[in-house]
Amino acid sequence: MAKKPQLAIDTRPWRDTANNKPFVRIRSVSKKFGDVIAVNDVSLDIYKSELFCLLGGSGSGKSTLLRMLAGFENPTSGTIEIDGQDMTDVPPYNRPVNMMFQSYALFPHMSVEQNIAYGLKRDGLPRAEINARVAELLALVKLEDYGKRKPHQLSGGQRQRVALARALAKRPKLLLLDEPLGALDKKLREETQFELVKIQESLGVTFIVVTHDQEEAMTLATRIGVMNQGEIVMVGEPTDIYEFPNSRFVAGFIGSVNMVEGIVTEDEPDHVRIRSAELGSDIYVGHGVDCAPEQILWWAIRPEKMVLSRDKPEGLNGANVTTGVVEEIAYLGDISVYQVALESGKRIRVSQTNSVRGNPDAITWEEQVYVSWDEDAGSVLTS
Amino acid sequence: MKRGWFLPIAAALGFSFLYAPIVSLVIFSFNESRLVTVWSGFSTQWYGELFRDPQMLGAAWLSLQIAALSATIALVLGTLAAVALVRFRRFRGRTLFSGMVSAPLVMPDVITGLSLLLLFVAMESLLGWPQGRGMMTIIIAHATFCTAYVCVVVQSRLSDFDRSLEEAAMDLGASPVRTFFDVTLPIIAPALVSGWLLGFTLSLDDLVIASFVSGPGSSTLPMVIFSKVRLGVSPDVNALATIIIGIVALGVLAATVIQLRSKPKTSAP
Repeated sequence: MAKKPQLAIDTRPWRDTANNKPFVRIRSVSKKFGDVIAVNDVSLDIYKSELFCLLGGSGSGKSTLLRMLAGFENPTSGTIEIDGQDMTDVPPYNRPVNMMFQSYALFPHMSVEQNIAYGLKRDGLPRAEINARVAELLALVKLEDYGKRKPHQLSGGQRQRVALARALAKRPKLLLLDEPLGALDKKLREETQFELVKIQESLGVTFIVVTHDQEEAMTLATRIGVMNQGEIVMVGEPTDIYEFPNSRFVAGFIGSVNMVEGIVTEDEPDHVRIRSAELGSDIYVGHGVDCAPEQILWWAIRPEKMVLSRDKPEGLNGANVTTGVVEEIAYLGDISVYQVALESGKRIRVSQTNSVRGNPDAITWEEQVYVSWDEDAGSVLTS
Repeated sequence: MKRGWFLPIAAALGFSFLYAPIVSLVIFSFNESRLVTVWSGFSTQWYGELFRDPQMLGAAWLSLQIAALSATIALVLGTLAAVALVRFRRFRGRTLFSGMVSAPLVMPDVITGLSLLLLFVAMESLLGWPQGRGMMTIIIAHATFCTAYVCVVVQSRLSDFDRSLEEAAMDLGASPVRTFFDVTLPIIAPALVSGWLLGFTLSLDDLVIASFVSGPGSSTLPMVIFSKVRLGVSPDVNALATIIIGIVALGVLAATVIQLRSKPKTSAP
């Protein structure tokens, strides 16, 4: 995975909302198409120079939200402010916003240069200035030798870069990207992710990226907004989203997760004990949780946060260890993923790093194993 | 494996069925004899004769004017109809409207001609316009049925038009009008050209409808040819027919080439 931009704490304005003004302010925006609610009461603050990812499945409303920011759709209710200016009645051609389309939408009858220059010409800049800017952008996306070509003479990756250059040409304050890497193959996508982050950092433009690819969102984003059925269900930094999901939907949508149901048996300020029949053991959670005794809730844990062993580990206060039989092993080289069938019939996935080369003593199929975890390894979810 | 002989022969028969009459007509247009059916030697004299015939030339000029004007009118109306049908996806009566636009494609010419004639007569007595029948009524009649063809051609081009191209232009600061001229028009231009050419050739071709709605002194070329042939086939008609075949073939060819050449080349992502 690519590295996130390195930010000092004080360059994360969303952590200090009292002293920082949001750059994009979405206030209870809803959008209805007939009877269908595409976006339902979304409020969101996005700060300057952020690379914000809207992540969701198809039909989650992420693209509609993006199109409202661009001005192609009008909110049914609510307001959108960009840089302190209300955008509600501003048509797309007067917004300080540019968009990179999923299909790239390059003008087929214009050369690469003309495509990039199009927005600048609409601003009535002098020819010399336009030419200089076009050359600068071609250099930025490393397409200096392709200026005279037509879009259909370019590869998919090159077209993607032309689309990016064209969207950046007018130095927008805000760049909207609709599935920017969706049309590229896997290898190219990984390379392009780095470039996109690099360009975004060097220009300091605020990016809002729509994607359905959680890995892409984790790689690119400073913050992620997870959308489901027209609503934002969680906003947070990639680590928050992955390690501290706020709901079963978020936990299940991002990465792989084991989820079990349980009943609260002890509810103390410093710890919680959950009994899970599915898991075949108690879960001891080393911090307080907002719940009540006897409450039914869910506990989610990532496969890499669990440990496999042949010998029974000590556990924690008589909890946090269960047993089962290895059913499947997926060897991925760096890690192996074990599917363990618990006594309740529930199957959980545990991943282990293959730190010993060709380990002959590795846990194998049909073996009885113990699965254990740390007191803070999982997330308790009440919704 | 040996190639079967059936398919080539079937194809040869089919094509000769289609083109033998035309080829013989072209050959006989270069016949020296006054008798159309007897070959007596190569000559281009009937072409010369043709160009000295003021009635023929006048009719040809009239037909060209009518074709150009009605194709132009049809282009504008057909494009507007196509835009309405493609862009306003869910308006009431869309199915009815789109069916009605293409109905003239299958309507027998006799019915189209007769109904237009009745309309013109009624309009003249009620509104006093169009006065009598002549070039104007033929243009209107041709424009109506050519509109259907233009609409179909433009509609197919518009329906695979990527709307995000227009959105991209607006996003980059172009007003809707500007967007239409910078992006929409260049991209659908080939369909417009081929629609116009199609209308032009159809109008040039038409005999039946024109016969209904023309008046004295406004005989189109096909009408003149038809009346001449009724008095006995004269070789200069062959020459004229050859020229028309050439023009029509060129028009259709140009329309096809333009349409093919400009298939949207933005390959799918």
